[in-house]
Amino acid sequence: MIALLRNPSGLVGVLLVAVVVAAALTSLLWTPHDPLIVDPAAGWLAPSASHLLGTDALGRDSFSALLVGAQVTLGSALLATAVAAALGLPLAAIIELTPPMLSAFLQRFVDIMIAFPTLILAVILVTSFGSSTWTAAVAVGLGASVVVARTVAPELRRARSSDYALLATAAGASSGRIMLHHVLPNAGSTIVVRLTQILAGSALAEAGLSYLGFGTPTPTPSWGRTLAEMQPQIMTRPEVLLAPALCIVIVVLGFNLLGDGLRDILDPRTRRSTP
Amino acid sequence: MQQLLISNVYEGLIAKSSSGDYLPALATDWTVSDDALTYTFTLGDATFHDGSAVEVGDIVSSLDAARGTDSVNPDAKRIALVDTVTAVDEDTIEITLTDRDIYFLDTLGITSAGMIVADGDDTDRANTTNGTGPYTVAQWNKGSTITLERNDAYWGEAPLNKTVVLHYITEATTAMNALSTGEIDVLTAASAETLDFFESDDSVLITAGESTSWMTLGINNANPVLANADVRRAINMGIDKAGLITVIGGNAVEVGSMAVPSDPWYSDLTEINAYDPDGARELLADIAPTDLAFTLTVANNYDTKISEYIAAQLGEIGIAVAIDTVEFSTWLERAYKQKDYDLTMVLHVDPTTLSYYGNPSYYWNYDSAEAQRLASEAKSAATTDERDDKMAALAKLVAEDAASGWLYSPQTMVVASTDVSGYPVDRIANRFPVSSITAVN
Repeated sequence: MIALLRNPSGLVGVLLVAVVVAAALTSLLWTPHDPLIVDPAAGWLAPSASHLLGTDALGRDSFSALLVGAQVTLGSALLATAVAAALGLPLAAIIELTPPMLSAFLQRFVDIMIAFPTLILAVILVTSFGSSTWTAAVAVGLGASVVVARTVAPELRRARSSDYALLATAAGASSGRIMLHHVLPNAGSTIVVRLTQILAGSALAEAGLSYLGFGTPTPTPSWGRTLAEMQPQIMTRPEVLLAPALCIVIVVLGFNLLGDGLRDILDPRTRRSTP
Repeated sequence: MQQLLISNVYEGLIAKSSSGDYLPALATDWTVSDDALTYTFTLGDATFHDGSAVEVGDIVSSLDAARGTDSVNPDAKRIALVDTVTAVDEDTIEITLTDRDIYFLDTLGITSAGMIVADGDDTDRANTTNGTGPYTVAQWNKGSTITLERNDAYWGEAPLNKTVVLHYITEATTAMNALSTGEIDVLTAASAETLDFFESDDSVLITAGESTSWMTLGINNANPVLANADVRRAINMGIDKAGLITVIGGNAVEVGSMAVPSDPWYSDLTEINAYDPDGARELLADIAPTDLAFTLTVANNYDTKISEYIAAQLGEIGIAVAIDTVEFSTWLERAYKQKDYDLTMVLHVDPTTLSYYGNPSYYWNYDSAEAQRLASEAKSAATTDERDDKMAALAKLVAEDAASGWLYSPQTMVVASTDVSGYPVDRIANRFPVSSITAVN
């Protein structure tokens, strides 16, 4: 952790992610106003002490909505990444453990799935099951799981052909046992870095899907949907688009920098090149 | 499309002015029998775009095709009461009806069912036109632009402009830019943001036109809970419509039923089931001891502000509303056709939408014998006064019954460059006659 904070990318990443996590946690307990209370008389108020970022057309407090939106973004990014890990890691292990013919088949399958756009997969799932934050997150996770499998499998192969794995084989350990006790822990750093990047991608995908109307349903605040709702104001009140857009930038940049920082300190190849 | 083709490219026996008067078109004059079952038209000297004269045979074949059993005309139902169409002599057509139809002249003048094409004409109508109107379609880029070119051989008064290009723009910001850059001169149905943007701009003129449209909260009257009129009344009483009009940026009028102030059958019904959240809670307390929950199914082409507002307001009187935003095609299939919804939201634009309350199989599932009687008596009324009385009674009945919620009637906001004049502003949702548009300089 200290190594991460010493790394410039890591430090900025940790700070940005901490801001978003703090916003989400705060909103669970307290928001300045109820983000769902409608008051037509208070529509489009300018920022003030009571309404830090003003109000929207319905008179709802924009700052409160952004705080609650952090829950949606973080929650769906975590769920999508969990799905990606839960499916992608076993898939990578299976690709490595199966006979070459089947493994080649699985790898081509993964390649085909990677070529299939995640957003379209999400739109199909949402159209079939109804739009919800969680449906969208699972869809994004499904799309990301094949990417995890694709990038983790070579790492497993490298670890499997290492001396200690060969030694374990010579000692008579089963291939499943070797995978679990020797290979996976040694590929851990790659996996952690990859999953952090998936977090960034998932947060962005949630915003994109909500922006298109396939993610979080109204009226639950979501940064992507707020951006879409504010879009018609771009000529008359451009400032109202700034806040949700910045929030999305912060969370995506935060996870990406965190991923970079982790890679710098965990990956022995890049560690050597970093001063 | 229909809105553009009628009266610009195709014409009927008669036409209708924006103030509601019937005008001669292909027919120079007409008479209606005392029992209002026989209409006699005298044909004028009109010609088709290909130069051939309009003859009685063309009228007979066009109307017969529109009402035939294999008709593909979108307005075929409107002409269903026609019994016979006969050419009496070479200038006279007689049409008889099986039952009186007070809207019959409207059908002939302003719907697809009344438009006249040449008998035996093999024009490929999906791609070209051969009507009698002041314009021909010069170019049509589906979903984008349509170019109307003046028909120089027009039999009537020639249009004031030579070419009109109509752009179909779905995105408000794009439309705003198109007007700013001069790509377009007239912008119809301008959004609230567009009006804000051009408010202090001297190079454009903003006009509020009369409209016959209603943003309607569709209530599924067949839903076991919503079948109770008191629940529907409470829903109406729970929504502050004036507040909603503020939220959408003004430019709409409050209505208490499916009638607008310019309708001859209009009376102010806004006091019926007016905003009264306490009254709504009391009504609900008597009938629904537990909290009510409904789904509001909305097509994604409507502003989400409106559905969020409704959900928030009904939440305050103890009705939980979940918003289900769906693609328009999904909405059409699920809510409109299968009637599988609790609450929905629709912008109705047909001026006679009120009469649909007499149709129990319409998507509202509103089955009232009284409403059906009034709607059918209005249709078969002998005089317009009698029709207006019946329609007024129907408007009041459905308001008291809270058959739907009438959220507001949007005004048609037209923003146009001050370089042009003569563009239509009133009642343009169904027809958009362009022949009087001129450049000022």
